[in-house]
Formats: sequence, C-alpha cells, structure tokens
Amino acid sequence: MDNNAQLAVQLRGITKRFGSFTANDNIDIDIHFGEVHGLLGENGAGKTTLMNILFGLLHPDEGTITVKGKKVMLKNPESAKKAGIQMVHQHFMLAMPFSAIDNIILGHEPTEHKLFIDRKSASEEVKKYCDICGFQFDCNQKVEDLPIASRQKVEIIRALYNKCDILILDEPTAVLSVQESDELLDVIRRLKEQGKAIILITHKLNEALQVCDEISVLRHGKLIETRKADEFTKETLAMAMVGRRVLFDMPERVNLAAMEPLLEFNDVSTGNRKNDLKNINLELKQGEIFGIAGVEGNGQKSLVETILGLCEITNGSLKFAEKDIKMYTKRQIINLTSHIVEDRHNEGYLNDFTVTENMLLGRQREEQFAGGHTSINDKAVERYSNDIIEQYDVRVSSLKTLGKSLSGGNQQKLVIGREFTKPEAKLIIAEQPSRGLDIASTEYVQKCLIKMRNLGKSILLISADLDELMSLSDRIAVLYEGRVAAIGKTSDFNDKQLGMYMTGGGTDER
Amino acid sequence: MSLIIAVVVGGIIVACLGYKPLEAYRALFKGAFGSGSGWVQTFAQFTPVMFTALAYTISMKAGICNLGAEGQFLAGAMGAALAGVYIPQILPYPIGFVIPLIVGVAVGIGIGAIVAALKYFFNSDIMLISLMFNYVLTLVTNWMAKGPFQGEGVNPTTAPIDPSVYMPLLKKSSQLSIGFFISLAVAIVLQYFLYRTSAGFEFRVVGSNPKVARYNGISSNKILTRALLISGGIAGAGGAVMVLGVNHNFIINLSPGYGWDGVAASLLGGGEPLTTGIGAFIFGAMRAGSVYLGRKTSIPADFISVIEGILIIFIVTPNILKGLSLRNKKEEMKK
Amino acid sequence: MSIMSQFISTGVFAATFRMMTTVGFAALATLMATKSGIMHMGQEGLMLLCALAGVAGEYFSGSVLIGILLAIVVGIGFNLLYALFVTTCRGDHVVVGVGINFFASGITALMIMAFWKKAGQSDTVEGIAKLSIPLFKKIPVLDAVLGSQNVLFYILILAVVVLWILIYKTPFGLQMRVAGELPLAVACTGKDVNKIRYSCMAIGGILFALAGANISLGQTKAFSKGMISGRGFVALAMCMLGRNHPVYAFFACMMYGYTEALQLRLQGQGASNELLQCIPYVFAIVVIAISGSLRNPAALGKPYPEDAN
Repeated sequence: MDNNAQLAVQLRGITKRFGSFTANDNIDIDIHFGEVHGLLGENGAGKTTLMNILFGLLHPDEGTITVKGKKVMLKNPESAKKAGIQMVHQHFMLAMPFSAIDNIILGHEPTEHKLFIDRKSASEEVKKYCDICGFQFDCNQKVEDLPIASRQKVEIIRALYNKCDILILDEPTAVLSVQESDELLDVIRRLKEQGKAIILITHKLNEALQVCDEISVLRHGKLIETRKADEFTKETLAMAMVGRRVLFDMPERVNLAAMEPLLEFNDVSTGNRKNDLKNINLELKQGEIFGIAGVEGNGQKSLVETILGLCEITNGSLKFAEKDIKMYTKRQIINLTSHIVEDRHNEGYLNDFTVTENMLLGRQREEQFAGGHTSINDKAVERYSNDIIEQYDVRVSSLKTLGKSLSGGNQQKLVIGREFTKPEAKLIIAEQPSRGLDIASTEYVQKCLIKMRNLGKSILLISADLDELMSLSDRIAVLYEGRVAAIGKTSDFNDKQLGMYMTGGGTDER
Repeated sequence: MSLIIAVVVGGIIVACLGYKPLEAYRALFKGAFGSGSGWVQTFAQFTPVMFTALAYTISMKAGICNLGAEGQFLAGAMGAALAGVYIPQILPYPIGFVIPLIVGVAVGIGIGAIVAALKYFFNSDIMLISLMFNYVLTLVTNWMAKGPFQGEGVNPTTAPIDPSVYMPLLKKSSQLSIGFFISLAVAIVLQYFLYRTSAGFEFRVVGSNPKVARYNGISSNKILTRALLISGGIAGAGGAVMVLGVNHNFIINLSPGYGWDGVAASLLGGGEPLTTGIGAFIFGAMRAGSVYLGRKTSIPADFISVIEGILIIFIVTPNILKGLSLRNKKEEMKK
Repeated sequence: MSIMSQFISTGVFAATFRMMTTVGFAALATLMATKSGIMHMGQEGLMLLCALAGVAGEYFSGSVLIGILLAIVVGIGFNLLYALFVTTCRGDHVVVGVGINFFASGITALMIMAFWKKAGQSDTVEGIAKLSIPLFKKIPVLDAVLGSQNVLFYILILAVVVLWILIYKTPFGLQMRVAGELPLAVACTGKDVNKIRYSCMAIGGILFALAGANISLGQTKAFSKGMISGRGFVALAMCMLGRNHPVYAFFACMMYGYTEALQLRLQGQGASNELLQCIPYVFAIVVIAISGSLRNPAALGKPYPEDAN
C-alpha cells in the first residue's frame, strides 16, 4: 500500500443535524486514490448521511470538502459528478421499467446526428466497462426483470460510465449471496488497481477486513477512529463500532422444556424467491424470547407476514395457539399480536394523523375504545394515550400533535407503548425494536421485552443487532435465503458462528 | 386572502374583454345576498352542490378519486322522479317524499356498486370509469325523459310526480326545500362517522396509507367498496332532492354541472365534510348571483365560472405566491 | 343500406378519421404531460380555449393560418401556465385541471358575447378546407375514405410518428420518461426536471391547439359554448388506455372514432339518439374496465422535489 497515495477527498469538520438529532458530528476523513476506504458503523451511526453529503444529496451544516486538492461545494449530485464522485446506493436509484442501458446512459446519451440516441456506440462503451469488471448481463433487459445482483452491476457500470474516479458503495453486499459478494469484492479490487478511490460503507467486519486498506469507524455520528485495516482485528473493530454499551445482566433463562408452543411452523414454504420461506420448521414456545438473526432480505419479512396472515402459505402449516392460522381473521391475529414494525411509515405509523389516532391504530375496535358501533370513547382513549406517554416516555407537547412532528425515537416509543399494552396479546413480534433509540431508551425497551417474557408472553425478536439478540434471546434461529440455517439455545452460539450462518457459511467452517 | 386575489385577477381579465368587473361583482353580490329571495336562492343552489361535494369528499377520504357524482346525481333524480309517478303513494304529504327519496338513494348506490364491482373484478381505474359513466347516465336519463317515460305534452320531461311526495318547501314558491337541511344532516353524519367511530377511523387510514391499513387488519377492498356505495348514495340523494323539492319531474339536462361544482366545492372546502359546506356555499352563492347577473346586466352568467376556476386554483395551490417568488430565489442561489 | 353494411361502409371509416382527429391530438398532448410526470385533467379547458382562439383568430384577421397560429399561442400559453401551477407552485394536479376547465368554460362564453355580441355561438368562418389529394382520386376506395379529410388528420399521423421518435429515440425523450418515473435519477445527472416538464407541456400546448382548431375550424367552422363536451376526458381515457404510448393511443382513438362515427351513422333510423350517443362511452368503459389496472409513470402527480424546502 502506497503511503503517499494521492489524496482524493478530504472531509474536514463535517457536521449535519436533523432537528435536534446530530447525524454527523465534526467528522474528519482522508480518502486516497488507489485505495479502498471502509466506513463502518452500526445502523444509524451516520455513514449513509456522510456519504449523501459527499454525493451532493445533502448539505452539511458545517465543514468543508476538498476533492483532488480543490475545495468544492457539492450542491447537488451533478456537482458531485463533475468532481468525479459517483455513488451506488443501498436502495438502488434505477428506473425500473427502463432497460439497463437506458439507466446507464441517462443524461449523457451519445447521439447520432445530434438528434437520436446512438444505442450502438452506447452498448460498445458499456461493454468496455463490463469487461473491466467482468460483468455479463444483457443491457437491453428491463431493470425490473434483472436479479438484484445484476441491478447492482448496472449501478456500478453507470458510475463508471459517468467517468468517476471516486466511487462510493453503500452496503453493497447487503442484498447479495456469498458468491455474489465475493465477486463484488473482486470487482472492487480491480477498480482499485485502476487507481480509483473506493469508499465502502458496510457493517460486515469480515468484508471490511478483507478488502479495505483503511477503515474509519463511526458511532452515533462521531468518528471514533481511522486506522489502516491491518491494524484492526475483528474484535477491536467490533469494539470500536459498538463501544462500551451499558449491558444489563443476562436475564434468567426459563426452563424451556415445560412450555407449550404458541407458534408452530411445520415445513412452511411461501414461494421460491430469495425472501420466501422454504421448509421452515420452528416452534415459538410460550414465555420465551426467540431471536431471529439474519441479513435483511433473507426471509424475515415473509416470516412476519405469514404470521399476520398476509402471506400465502404454499406448503406446510402454521399453528397459532394450537389453531391453524387460516382459521383466524386478520383482525383476530392483530388482537393477539403486539407488532413492533420495522418500517413504521409503511406499516405502523401515520404521519398525518394525531398522536392519539396513532395510539389507536390497530386497536380501534377494542371494547374499551369502541364500545360497540357507536362513538369512540374519548375519555378512555385520552386516558390510555396519557398513560402510554407517561410510561413509555413519549415526548410530545399535546395529544393533538401530528404524527410527523415526533422525532424518530419518540415515534418508536409510541409504537412500542401502543403494542405492548394490548390486553389480549399473547405474541410479540419485535422487529428492530431499538432502532433509532438512544442508549437509555434502548435499555428501557429491552427491559420491557424481558418483563413481557416473564409475564408469559412469547416474543419473536428480529434484530440486526447481534448484541441485542444474544443478550435477550433464550433461543436463536438464523435465517438465510428463507431457510433456517441454524437453530438452538443462545448459549450454544457465539457471534462469530452466527455471522457465518448469516452470510451463508456452513457448519463445515466451525 | 386568495379569495381577494382571485377576485382581482378575474376582474382584470374580464375587464380586458370590455366588461365592467365592478358591475359584475355588484350584481353577483346583490343576486346572492342582496335580498331575502337572494339568500333563499343561495341556499337552494347550495343544496345540490353540497350533496355532490359530500359524495366526492367521502370518496377522497378513502383515497378514491370518484368523479362520477354528476351521473349518480342524475340517476338518483330519475329514480325519484319515476318513483314519484309510478309507485303507489302510501304516505301522505308532507312525509310522502321519503319513499322516492329512498329510491333515488338506492339507484345512486346501485351505480356505485357497478363501479365497485368493476374495480373488484378487474381492478379498473375508478377515476376514468366514473367519469365515463357520467356521460352515459346523462344520455340515458335524457333518453328516458324524452322517450319511454315522457310525460304528457311535448316537453322533454317525465310525468309530474304525485303532489303527495313533494318535498316541503322552506319558503313558499321558492326552490328551497327541506333538502337543504337533509344535506347538512348528511354532512354532520359523515363528519361524525369519520372522526367519532372506529369504522370511520379505518376509513381514513385506508385513505391515508393503504399499506399501513393492510398491516393493521383493515381490508382496503371492503372500505373502498363501502366508499363507492356511500358516495353513490349521497349523490343520488342530491338528485332525488332536486326532483322532489324543486322540479317535481325530471327534465332533460337537469343538472347544469352540479357534479363538477361538487368536486370543486369539496376541494375548496379542504376535503372534510363540514368544511365542504363552505365550498358549497360559495358555489351556491355564485349560481344564485349569476342568474341576477345574466338578467340584469349584459354580462353573461358564465362569468362565475371564470371566478370559480381562478379561485380553486389559488386557494388550493399551497405555494402559489411562494412558488412564484421561490423561482426568483432559486435563480439567485444558482449564481 | 342494411344495418350490418353500415358498420363497414367507407362512409363510416371516413367519419372515423374525422372523429378521431380532435381526440387524437388531445390524447397526444395528454401523454406528453403524463409521461413527464404531470397529470393533466384540464383537456376540456385547453381545447375550449384553443378552439375559440382559432375561430377568433381567423374571424378578425381573415386568414385561417392566423387562426391556427393564435390557437397555438394560446395552447402553449395555458399549458405552460398549467405546468407552472403544478411544478413550481406545487399545486395539486386535479385541482389545477378542474380549475382550468371552469375558467375556460366561463371565459370562452364571455368572449363570445364580447366579440360577437351574441350568446352561445360565434359567427361562422371559412375554417379549414377539406384536403383533396389528386392521387386518391384515382382509387375510389381511398378517395371515399380519405377524400373528405382536412389537412389536420394527416398532421395527426405525422405527429404520432414525430412524437414516437422524440419520446423513444432521442435523449430528451429518455430524460422525459425517467422524469415521470424517477425524477431523482434525472436530477442526479444534472438535468432540470421541471424544465423538462415545461418543455413537454409546451409541445402539448401545440397539440391541444390543433385539437381545438380541428373541431372549431375544421368541423363546425364556428365556436359554440361548451363545444368540447367531454372529448377532453375521452382523450384522457384513450391516452391511458393506450398506456401513454403515442401509437397505441392513436389506435385507441381510432377505435373511439369508429364508435362515434357509427353512432352518428345509425341515428335517425329508429333507435333513440341519446342511446346511440352512449355507444362510444360504453365502449370506453368496457375497454377501460377489462384493461384492469393501468400503470402510470410512478412519479405522476408529484411535484419535484417532493419536499418543499
């Protein structure tokens, strides 16, 4: 590695706030050409925000950016492009119904006679880049028909086509299989050898250590440290990412043998796509916390939707409290389930409704509120809302405040309060329950989960935070491409093994 | 605020054509509010618009753009007109109107059901279908009035309905019937439904975010169907009220565009049942004033459409002034 | 003539082309808006204004070309105004459409009174003459079908071809289509999304002008109050039926034109006129219904950028 490699980007003092929440706090980073610079951190650490600033999608509140020796104001992605910066987003920025090549050449179409798009020369140039990367796909296929790994290739080719010399990759392997991830890492090495500067955002330790030359770690918006990759070990890297967390004592493990199952998955399949369940055999006993580990997109959504009755079971059967799931109406399942959703804005929270109304969501038919088919019992609703606000520390100025005015953390607390106080709920599905919460609130939520467990409820805990999973769960299963890759008591696993199962490594690598 | 701008802009535009805007506005005002009979007419014109506006409002609350109020209005009107003639009258005046009114509502619901069925089975686009239905229903009801159901004489109307089913008037020899109060009652019921009942809550959730509805056990299909049925019924009621209270038969071209007035009034009012009344009031006043305008001045009654158009764009377009000045700011920033 | 033969006579086809021209232009104009992300509900208003402009232009200048030119100016002007309201001013597309329709119906009626001092209808003008192409006279069938068309029908076909090339073969067309689907992607390449939308609406304005001119100058040779009477919405429906594609929309309009021509032809033969007039609309409903969900560009109706800071 060349210690005198040319400076590509210098970030100095970058600070970005969203309201009272500081996403990036005074960050200084140097990126060099011919190197892969890893940007690591947990969800919410500020990595994507920082890179969106570099790509011109966001403006920093403070700080300066210097690219190739010149100070720049990246007002928009066009400025970033002029500076040679391109980004491959985690959630691709591709127009689905259009062909790959159309997406690649958009804005810089080669023309014939200055009027018509010259697709022939476009294909040739695209092929050139594909060869450099070792890609093979049909450029004329519509993006929506391409598999996810290919869509990512399209984004990479687009970046190269736009003549970038600084390439940002945001969690590129999040949606790839093991083999595809390896291929991608190869491509990254190749591009590095061409002299490009690559910034790799990831939370996967192995990957970072494999391919990066330098690594910067972010935590809660601050830069913790930047070091050469070979100066890190997995343990020190993980420690830097996670910090010294306030972990309470391991909760008492319940005696599992005596409990009856609340949920019984018997060879359940829902389809053939990557995220579909395939031959799932799983039991959730009453009074236990069952952790589901796995990279996003490996079946967790299907698992949840199958329980809620929103996903068709093509094979096998699912029993909820001894009854087949098909015998329940959706409303009954809602009453029996406390669901802390992963994606509030598309699943469990209404921005344009008031705080009180959000508290009612999913519970509007309960006796205490609805009282038959006549009017909503205002007093009961108000009392209930105030109770939750107090017990779950939801900071709002008034019950009539609109949902969108609450901070993310408070929104989450509202949802948790609403869900945990459902009178008939036996099952708790907690998806990423502490995402967006500060340490104290996280601790509170985790204590709540334990309390619920001790009250005899069953909890399905789906979390990307391995620490959380391992400290709370009694048992853990790892989902990989819709199958159970591993299942057992938490005490039987360590995080190294879990990581392996999550990324497709088999038992032979123990 | 926007009202003033709309009035001024409208005035300037027609002045360019050689009309006298002040005279126009004065006439409008006088026609709508200048006398007792003016007010009566204002409320009378308010009534049909209120019905169609509420029909649009309730659909929008569930997330559907149902533009078919015009057609459903006419269908309900025809239903009531025929019921008033051919169904034996068992109830005496003044409550005789109830049966034809119910028939009118039922016909409106029926049309809504057809649209809902098409949506359910084919997932068709409601906006377009309801729109096309307007033209079909206008033609069909006109045909019925000129053809098989024509009353005696040469006029293109259905037979006059039995006097026992007349809707009682609030003022003698006017067009203002108790339908006015019925429309207000419907608005109150809808407001109550949406905000004070669990079913109404679910309604609004579907309209706000169908994905969230799905995750919370609320069936979008059921709610959308209900919305179409309710909407059709309300529009049909409007038509029935028109026939029972004012015309006492169905005359061709019964509706001078109440359907579109309703859409505009709902948008003006902000999309809530009670505030829709404000929009309907403005449109009602405009129509009332326009008659006077057309009669007493040389300015055609169509002037009101000019104002109405400008009005709804200015009032409902949030940043219209901001937008125009924002553009200038953006140019400056780029430099 | 037996009923059956009326369905496929040359007269019907000739009428088909006559009927479809107005709606065809309007559908093309609508699709220019839709594909770039603007939901256009104001076809009725635009066509009314252009129709009047055409007649007024010819009446006061004596030249039909000036009439058409004035219609074009008016069309571009109001369509750009529509664009202004929905892009820069971030207005709701439905509201602006309904507003323009109201405004146009009112102002055109006022103008009739102002210009011609009578209510309801303007004086007549020469209008656009039928285009008689000598080549066709040699082939009786062609002559029967095409001999009575005016030049605008041929311009419509030209427009379909030009638009098809523009939308699918040029850089502008690609950017415009992506602007309607994922404007962020366009913005990231540095192109101005709203400028693209304005350009599309300007082109649409020209098309609306031809639509209006065809009906007022080409067919009735005068302007009467409310003369568009629903054709604007039919154009919207045909545009969506044609999946916002110029060629498919053209054929959708042709099918509509056929039903319209048929209904006119069948009048006066016993069945009621009103019921016959239902045919085109019922046809539209049936076709729309069975088409199921009509996929529109994903960003349709949303301003760019979505949040107003």
